[in-house]
Amino acid sequence: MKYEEIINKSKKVKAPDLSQHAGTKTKKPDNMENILNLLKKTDSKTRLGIRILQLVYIAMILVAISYILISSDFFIDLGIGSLILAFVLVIFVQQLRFRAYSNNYTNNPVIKYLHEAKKRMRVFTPRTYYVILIWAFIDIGICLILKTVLAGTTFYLSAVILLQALLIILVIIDFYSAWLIWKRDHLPVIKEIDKMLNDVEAS
Amino acid sequence: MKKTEQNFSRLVEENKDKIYRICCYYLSNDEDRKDLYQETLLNLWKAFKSFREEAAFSTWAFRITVNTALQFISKEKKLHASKKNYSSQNINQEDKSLINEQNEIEILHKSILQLPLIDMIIISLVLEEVPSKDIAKIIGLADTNIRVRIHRAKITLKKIIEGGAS
Repeated sequence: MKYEEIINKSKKVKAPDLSQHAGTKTKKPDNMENILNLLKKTDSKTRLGIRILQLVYIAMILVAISYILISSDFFIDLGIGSLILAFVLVIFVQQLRFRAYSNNYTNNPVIKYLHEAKKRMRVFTPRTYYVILIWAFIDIGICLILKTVLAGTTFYLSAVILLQALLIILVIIDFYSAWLIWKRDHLPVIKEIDKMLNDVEAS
Repeated sequence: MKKTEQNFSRLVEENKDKIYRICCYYLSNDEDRKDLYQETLLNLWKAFKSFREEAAFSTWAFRITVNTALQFISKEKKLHASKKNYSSQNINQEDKSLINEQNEIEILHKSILQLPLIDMIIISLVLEEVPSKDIAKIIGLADTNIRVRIHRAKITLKKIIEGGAS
């Protein structure tokens, strides 16, 4: 088997027809115009998904603001204000997601791309800290609302303690599962990247 | 179609076979290859606004192709699967006796997957006749370093193909 012959034959491989590819709905012949339409559709679907989520939270903020305007209880207003802050942070986190999607990291030299990929695969990214803040604002908001709703009853303190316990359990489960997923999916990749970067830097 | 779209279509049309072939070198499964090819085209389209015409489109596109492939194989954990898939069926006499064009191309893919990742990237570009100075730009290493690596990777690949070593 001659190396050169095989190399030459490999050049005969042609790009496939994407219209027949699984997950691709179009049945039209695969010319560049159809491919381009498919790309535009996939791209706008992802962008639209994030925007719709942001719009849902904006609507929730507007409803919350309208409630503050008609409500006369200070603690309920404060509680809803705290929930609004949590919603604003959700919108902000989604905006970060949108930016990360739009920002094409693949446009960098491979070595730089790998260094950045490693950074993006850290266990704790800025988004993690925003999620903690969101949980905290929701917690404060619910506690303040409960203060008015359960005013004068003996349940208030128990309700708040129960809520804290529940939230702590949820946060622990959330972080532990995220860590397990990171360990399963990202850690081996980081090790592979490290191996490659060490190999490159050693030469 | 707008002018940008026309430009994009024309440039991709000219390079699509090369882009697809680069995708093929990183994976053993045909469906995965098509998925990667589609994802690469999507990334090219997303990044096209940032493409400056002073650089060759092919160099720019191959850089995105290689990075998308790295992203794809790490995200989908496909590299180990592909390597495992191929190493379980080492190049042997049976392969050699079944030589036809398709088999030979598969043997080439099989052999490339046995190389270290950096050599896989280099060889995938060398096979598409990308000049060493462009490979250096794509990878982000010095041209001299790349030339040494190309030489070493070619020797290893040749040994695997001709010797049938795993």
